Amino acid sequence: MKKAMLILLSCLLAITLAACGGGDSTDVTDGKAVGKVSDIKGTVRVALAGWKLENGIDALTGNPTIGLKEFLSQTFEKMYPNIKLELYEIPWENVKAKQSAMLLSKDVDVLYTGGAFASQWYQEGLLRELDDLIKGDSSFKKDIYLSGLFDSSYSTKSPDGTKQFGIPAVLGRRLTVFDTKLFQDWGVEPLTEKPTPQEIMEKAKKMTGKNPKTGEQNYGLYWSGNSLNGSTFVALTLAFGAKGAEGKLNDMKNVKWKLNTPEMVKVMEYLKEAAKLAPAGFVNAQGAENFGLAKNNIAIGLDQTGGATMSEWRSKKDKALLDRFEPRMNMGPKGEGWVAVDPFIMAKDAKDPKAAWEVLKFLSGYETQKFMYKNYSYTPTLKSPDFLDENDKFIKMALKVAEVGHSELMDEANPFYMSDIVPAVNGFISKAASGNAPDIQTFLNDLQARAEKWSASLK
Amino acid sequence: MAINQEAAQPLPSTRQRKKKWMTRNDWMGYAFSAPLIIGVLAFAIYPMFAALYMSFHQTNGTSLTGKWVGTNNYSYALSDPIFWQAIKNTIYMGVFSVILGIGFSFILASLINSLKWNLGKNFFKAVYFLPNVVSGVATSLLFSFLFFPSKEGLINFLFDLFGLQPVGWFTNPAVSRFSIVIMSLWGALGYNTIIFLAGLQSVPRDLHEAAEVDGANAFRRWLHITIPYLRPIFVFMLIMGTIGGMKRFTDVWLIGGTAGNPGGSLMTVVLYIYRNAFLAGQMGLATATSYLLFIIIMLLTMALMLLNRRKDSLD
Repeated sequence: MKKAMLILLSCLLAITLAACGGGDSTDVTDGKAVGKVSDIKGTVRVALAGWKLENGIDALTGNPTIGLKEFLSQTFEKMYPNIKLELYEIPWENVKAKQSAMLLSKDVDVLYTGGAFASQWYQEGLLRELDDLIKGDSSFKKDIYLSGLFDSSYSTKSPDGTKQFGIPAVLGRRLTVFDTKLFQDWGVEPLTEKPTPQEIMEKAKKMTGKNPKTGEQNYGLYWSGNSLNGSTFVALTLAFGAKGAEGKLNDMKNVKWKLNTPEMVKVMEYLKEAAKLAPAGFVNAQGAENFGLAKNNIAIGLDQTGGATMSEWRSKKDKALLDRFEPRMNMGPKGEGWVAVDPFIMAKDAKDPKAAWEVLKFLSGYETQKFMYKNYSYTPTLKSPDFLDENDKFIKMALKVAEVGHSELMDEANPFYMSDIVPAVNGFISKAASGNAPDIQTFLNDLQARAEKWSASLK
Repeated sequence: MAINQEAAQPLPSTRQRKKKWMTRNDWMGYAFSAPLIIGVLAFAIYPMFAALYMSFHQTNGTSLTGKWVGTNNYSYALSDPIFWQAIKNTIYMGVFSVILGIGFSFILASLINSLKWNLGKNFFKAVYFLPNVVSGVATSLLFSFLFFPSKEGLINFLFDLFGLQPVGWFTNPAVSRFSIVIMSLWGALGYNTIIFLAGLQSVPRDLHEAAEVDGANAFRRWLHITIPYLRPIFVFMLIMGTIGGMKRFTDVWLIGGTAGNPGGSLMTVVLYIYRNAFLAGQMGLATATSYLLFIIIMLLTMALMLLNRRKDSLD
């Protein structure tokens, strides 16, 4: 009995060790030799929102993933052997409060974070400008980045556009994606390359109801009704020419609010009409669990990433879904929408700015972006990311959308937009979905008055 | 003789006694408790005063000082209809959560306590306590799928079996607040039950025996002995439940987002504070609202304490 137990335990131990050991495919350098670049010394503390530090498994595809620590040990640590890295993994949940605390207590030198947070910290004087470091480093090539993200995004540039405080590292994907199968079932023409809100509405209306071929309930449209950043609302303001506000982000007390204009009325009318075409759960960001997958029942998804379809492709290598779901540009006049950019930034009181700059430059550079794309499907911010999967049409489209992107005051970097406008619009959408939408002009007049009161309170 | 000599010595003066009181051992005691005292001062007392100071300033929180605005932050919050809507929602969800939570958990505890079989008691205690160890995030995710607004959700699927229309648990403003109450009942039932069980086991057996001799049946004994005897526990549960209910945030934020969707029905006071502090960067307004919430909680707690001042005949 004892022998049997011993054998059983030995087998279990062997299996466990084999499972934990992983394979030997953790090379991140593609076989290239990595040599020393500099003798620069220093300790750099890095806080990374949402990055995985350890090797693991992709929960969606089941594919093994390599953690940042492994990547850095094979690359950065060989290039800069005298720079000691202290890495902190910060979950995205409530990340602003956590990283704010690190900045205030001067416990961090370099951060990866959300673009809106970076912009607010810059205005609060917590970040270091990077212009002198960029100027003094001939090896840094800003031309590799999409110019719209590097030169004119609130996430990387000061509100007046003169100072650089961040380097774009990860791009958010906001695409219009449609299901060609449902379009065929309903006999509706596919979306054009740059579908306007009117075209989307017209076609979505035709595809809401019982599918003529399958008899299943179909929904013409989906977007997240409780989005934190109101990206669909932003795209619609661009499409209808509703500016929402005029002024400068660093002078919010003097901003002229334009929230109750006829253009904004059109935006709200559109949302009111669109709310009838989405599944009920959309007000709480539910109902699109199958979008991008075989069981999908939604014809058009606004501000989608194509992530589910690409995960299926990566894990099963079956092109059926990839052929079924097609990306299109966003709803703005040039196909633009709201473009999220997550940058790397440096704390105002970084202990060793030169060493911190080398770290920041590397983590936002080509090699790291390639590594993050291959392991975690992060969208690069580069002009020519030659490492993309040739089948990844979603990222290619996202880069096109980013190229025409521009920052307006209806942006998450605007504090009143985040704290009041987005919640108010989301509240309006949920009321419209239940058939109790308030009078649009009255709603917008109230929002305008609220915005003016808010700006006045800053004076 | 020696005894007489000692008795003849005068008693040490108060001053001398004070000197003796602060002995080396006393200093050691203070030194050992210093970490705790410093911790309380640094992490509880100081933030409270700092927040109060901040509430009279216009600041984004990067520093304590900012532009002095007097009571503007307080008047801004008090004149904001969203703040009052948040108060209304918070009280609605708090009141139902506390009343139903206490009622159900007390009945449940009484049922478990009446079991003769110890193993059965422990089994039910463990079963009902399990939800208490599940995080608020996991609970919210679980219920967002259980309460899915169409037939794909488990509850609406069951409704459909009986020919009932699906309910928009978290999508219909008319029912969303009560759905949150149901969810919080599930999460808190176990903890409340354990507290009541401990109380039930402390009710003296002789009181029940005396009442039994006088001819009182089990229900009357429960009504007239058990419930009055547990009044301090009821008050404790009421106070703790009220404080917890007024601080509701995680579940409503995860389900309704920053808007407190649907239609702002899940907007609570702490969500309002969060929006101002971390989305608008108006820490002065957020701290002022925190103090308003503190005053509301204090008043409610005082009212509940007053309710318990009546001298109980069983004390």
